[in-house]
Amino acid sequence: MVRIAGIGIVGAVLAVVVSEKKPEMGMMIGLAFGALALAIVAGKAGAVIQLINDSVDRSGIDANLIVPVLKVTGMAYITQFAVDACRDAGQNSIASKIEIAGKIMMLAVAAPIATALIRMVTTII
Amino acid sequence: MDVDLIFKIAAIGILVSILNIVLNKSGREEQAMMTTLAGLVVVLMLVVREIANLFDTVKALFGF
Repeated sequence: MVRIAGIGIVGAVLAVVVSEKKPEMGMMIGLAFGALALAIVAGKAGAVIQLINDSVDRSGIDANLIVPVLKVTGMAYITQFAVDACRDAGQNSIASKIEIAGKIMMLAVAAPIATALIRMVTTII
Repeated sequence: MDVDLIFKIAAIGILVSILNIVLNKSGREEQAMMTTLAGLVVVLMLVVREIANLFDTVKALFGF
């Protein structure tokens, strides 16, 4: 946490210094900081994911149901990262296209859960 | 690895902007543009490698 905060402050100062002359380099610094910080955090998040998987295994819920949830979470992170990068570069239209693509892909991943729910309801009826 | 990458990018940015100014002052506009382009490509390579690393981590984490 302290490391990420420190890297963030250093990156912000350097980005301000550099983007005076070269705005694209400032954007690159922002992008590099984002990738580094998220890569550091992702290592910690692995333990949480492991915990969720263990709890699901122990509670006897079908393991296939939790996979799309995790997938959608990961896709949301990747989409948000790409959208923020494009917004920083001032390309709002590309950012919203990536957003739409991410939403559609998330829907595609989540559709089997919805159909499973419908099937469950119909069997109960 | 951590802060080094950001320092590296900032150093390349400052270096390229100085080279750009010098080349522009001595009347070599096209070489100045080439320097800018080369610096941008080098930095892009560094950043893209790191982003690919991040995406691979996220993919491995969430079981794609």
